[in-house]
Amino acid sequence: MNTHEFKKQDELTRRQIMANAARTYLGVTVAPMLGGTLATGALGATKKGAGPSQVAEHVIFLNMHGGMSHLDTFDPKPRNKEVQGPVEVIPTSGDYEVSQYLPEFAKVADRACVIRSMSSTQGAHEQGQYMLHRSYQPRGTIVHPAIGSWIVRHKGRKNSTLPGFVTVGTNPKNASAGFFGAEFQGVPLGRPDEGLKDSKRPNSVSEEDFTKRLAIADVLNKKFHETYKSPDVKSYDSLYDEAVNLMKSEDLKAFDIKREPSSTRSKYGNDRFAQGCLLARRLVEVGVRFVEVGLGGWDTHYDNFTSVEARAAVLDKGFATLVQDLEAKGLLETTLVVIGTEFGRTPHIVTEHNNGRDHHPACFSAVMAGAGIKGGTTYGKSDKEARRPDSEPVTVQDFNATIGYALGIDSHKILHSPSGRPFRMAGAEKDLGDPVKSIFS
Amino acid sequence: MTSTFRFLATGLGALGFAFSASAQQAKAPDPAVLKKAAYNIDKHVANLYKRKKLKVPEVVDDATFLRRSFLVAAGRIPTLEESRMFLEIEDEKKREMLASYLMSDKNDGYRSTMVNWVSDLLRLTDAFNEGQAAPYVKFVHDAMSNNMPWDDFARQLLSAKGSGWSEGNGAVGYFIRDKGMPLDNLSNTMRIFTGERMECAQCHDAPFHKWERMQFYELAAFTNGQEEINRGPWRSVWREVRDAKEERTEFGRLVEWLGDNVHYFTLAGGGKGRIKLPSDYQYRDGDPGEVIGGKTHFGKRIRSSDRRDDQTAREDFANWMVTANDNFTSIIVNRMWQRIMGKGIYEPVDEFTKSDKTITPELMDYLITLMRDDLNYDLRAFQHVLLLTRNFQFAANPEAFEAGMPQAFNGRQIERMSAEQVWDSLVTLTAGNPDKLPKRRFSDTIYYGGKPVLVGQKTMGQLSKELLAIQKPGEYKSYVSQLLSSIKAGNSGASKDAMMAMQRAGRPGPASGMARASELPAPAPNGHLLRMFGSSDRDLIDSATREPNMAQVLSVMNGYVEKMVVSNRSSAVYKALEAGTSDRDKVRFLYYSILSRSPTPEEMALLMRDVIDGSQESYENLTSALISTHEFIFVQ
Repeated sequence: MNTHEFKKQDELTRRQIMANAARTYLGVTVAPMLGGTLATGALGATKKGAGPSQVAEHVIFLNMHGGMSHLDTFDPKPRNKEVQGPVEVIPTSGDYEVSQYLPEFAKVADRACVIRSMSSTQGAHEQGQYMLHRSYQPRGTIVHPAIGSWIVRHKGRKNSTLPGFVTVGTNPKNASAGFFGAEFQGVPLGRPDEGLKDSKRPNSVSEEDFTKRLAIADVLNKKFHETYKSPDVKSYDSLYDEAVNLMKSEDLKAFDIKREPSSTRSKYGNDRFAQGCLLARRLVEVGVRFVEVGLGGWDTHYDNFTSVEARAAVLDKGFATLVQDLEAKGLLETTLVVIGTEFGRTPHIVTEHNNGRDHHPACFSAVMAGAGIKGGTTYGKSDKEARRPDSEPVTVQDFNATIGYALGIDSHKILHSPSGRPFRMAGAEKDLGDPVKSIFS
Repeated sequence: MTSTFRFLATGLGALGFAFSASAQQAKAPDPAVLKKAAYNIDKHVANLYKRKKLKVPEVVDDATFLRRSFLVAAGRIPTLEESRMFLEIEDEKKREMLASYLMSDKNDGYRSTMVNWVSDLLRLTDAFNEGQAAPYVKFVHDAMSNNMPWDDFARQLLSAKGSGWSEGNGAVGYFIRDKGMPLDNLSNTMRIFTGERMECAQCHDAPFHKWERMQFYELAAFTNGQEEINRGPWRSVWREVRDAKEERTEFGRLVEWLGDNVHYFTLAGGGKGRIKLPSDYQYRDGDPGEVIGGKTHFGKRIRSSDRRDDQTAREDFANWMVTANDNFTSIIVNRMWQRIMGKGIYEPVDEFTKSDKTITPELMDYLITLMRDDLNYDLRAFQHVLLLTRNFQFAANPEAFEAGMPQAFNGRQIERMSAEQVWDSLVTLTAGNPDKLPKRRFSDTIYYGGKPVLVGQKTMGQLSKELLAIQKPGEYKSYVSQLLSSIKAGNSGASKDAMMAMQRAGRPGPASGMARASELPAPAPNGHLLRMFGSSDRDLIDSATREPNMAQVLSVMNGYVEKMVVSNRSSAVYKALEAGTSDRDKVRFLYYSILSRSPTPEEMALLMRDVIDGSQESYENLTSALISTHEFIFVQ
């Protein structure tokens, strides 16, 4: 049975419950308002073999928000002290060096490809993060779907009872479905150790009362629906529907990292980011398509080296543990692990700001691992100051197209907004991204 | 006057509904002036409808007006008492009376909701990158509480200098908030106060924008030079500490703490008025590293020298900002319109549009004059005017599109409550009128290592004054040693009175638990209901979101709503059950408390037949269901 049918079936059950509840408790027959928009599934799913050939199932996107210094992490220039400052390089298990701040990464570098020729046209955080996630510039007239939402839309859900995608410890906007609507919305989690809060019926409410309450609200909502045709109102309906399904899900426990053996948990460590990585692995294991884990604090205008060292230590351990754990579980082949950021930081070291570095969208680095990526390699080069890409430039749109390619998605395929405007996962026509195919084996 | 009305009028008076002029209200603008202004606005809107040959929308019923007004002006739903007073009174002036009630300075809701608004705009947080921001937070809270005119507020933020710990000088925090990124700070300043988007020009001439990189740097020149006061001696002492690897000693820790909490929160000089072009400057009109002077490009042209450092460049810039260009007033007018009407006259609300490019230039010009010349940037009075307009009372447009008229004039679009409105409304259902709940506390007591120290001997203000006056490292060192031993000697020197006073005042800082959003930590912690419903993380300007997500729904079904409100038998919402004697009255009062209206006859019939059996459980079910309705969470 494919996920599509699965979903429809749950949907019917749900509707029956609501209708029965309304009959039993309220003595009325209602066509439930809930879930009218849910019965769609994997729209535009690409057939195997057509076009793209990669078949990853999931993505874990590690979002270094604030603008990660490429020089001090994945693209060091040890021979150019003027731009490099005090940071040294270390050899890795791969065919490249990284900064001394990344000793654990160095051990798994043979699983990862570093892209050193990234560039973006957006030099401010808000716009930069928006473009990184959505391949488009922010506009006043439309909200573009986030990359996780594109993936759920193209691939459908793998687990029909769980949300299609989840974000942890990052701006809730990154869970946006934009014009795709609530069905393709991610679930933003604040803290990984709290998992999906409030996903169980509280003890203070009996099963019967719980159902009654939903039924009453449903009936009372009827008039509101008749008056207002707002898509947001509809979204809340689908969400109630999904939430009830989720509460019944066998896989809900995946959200609880405390169920993980203590040996694994201690390997990851106690910081939020590492816990987020662990949660990501658990979610991927039960079929969540896309998990974003955020790590902030990269906006190192002031005292860059102290701050980057501290941030990098967190990223270093989290990433390395995640990759090893995925591999041990046999999930690395089907999971693309990505490190992304909205832009890099200036080669120029601003001494007045206690050795800070400013925003630098013209050149930065990203990392991809797993899912058939050729490990131990680099793609693209920056110039000797890490100021501009020197060869094989990769735009943010190319980057997103590459994520799509890993999953077998045709990122050039046009999907239309409700108002009929055409959009693609790889961005607008004028800066349409192309997948970097050569980094796959 | 009927007897019912007399009773209710007395009640309204008790709630502060009446017009009666108190000593404080004497300062407030004459109600007749406000009404006249509202009338003028409506005239312009009516002309607009006439010109477009469209039918003017209906006005909403009392219940919708009540709920909308409360959510917009007080940031929360009305209590049972407030709903009852308003809905059961019959008086043709009651809508005006409600506006006066909400905009009275006795009503804390307005302050609270303005704090939320301005905090999102300024990206206000409890802590800077280093050290605490309490005096800055206090400055902003006080400004909203005292209804500081908007031009004063802007001027003070932009021209502040010195130590943030000096009495009343918290405005310095505006620049400290963005320490290390003065250029981003300037972009934000321009966006906040003039509605010019310059963040692209920070790095390049933007092909689709009007600003060039040179112009950006010419503006940045005014605010350039944001050094700390007297960091030199501190630096020498800290270097010694580091060289001796004594960072973790008592002395080392104290030195570090002083750096983060005293020096960090200082701003020397008044702005240099000149700036070096960056090393990657790429256009013909300047060379990398070249020093240029300041220059404005719209409004009155002002300049600063490229030859020598200025002393008052930030002040000059601030004065230009608030008096010498058209943008400043237009943007705040538009933002206030958005706050009250749901949408700005032009959108995005912070992209300046000239009056003659808006759909109704006459109205825009009128509003600008009203704000600047008649009301002198009194934001409360201006919003009060808007609340009195017919435009505010237009029924919500049921369609998700404009239908020939911008939404600013077309009856608002229904919109989900903001995170703060959701939270503050749930707090109201739990604890009643939240005005009396705990608020943030501020104090200039020195808190070191999480404990109050030197109580009654030294305040943060005194400490920073003394420390910043020291010029020599040696002196600095001995000052710190002495400070350390005083701290270690404990609070024995403190007078009893001082200790008592401090205990009474309680621990400074944000409130926790049951308090309004404005009083909670800023930004709200991850995982809090406020964050689930999209409150801003305060990293970026106005970055709150109202997008739906599943965490919100779960929280309504199983989380905060159930635990804090529904299953809590002492919740204020259950006063409805005491207020009513019959089941029908109880149901009606629950509706008043939660949806601010009476149930329809059909609803009542259905509920009486199938839901309410007189038991607490049946009322809990109804309470939970009413809070879960769309009607609860959407502002109509």
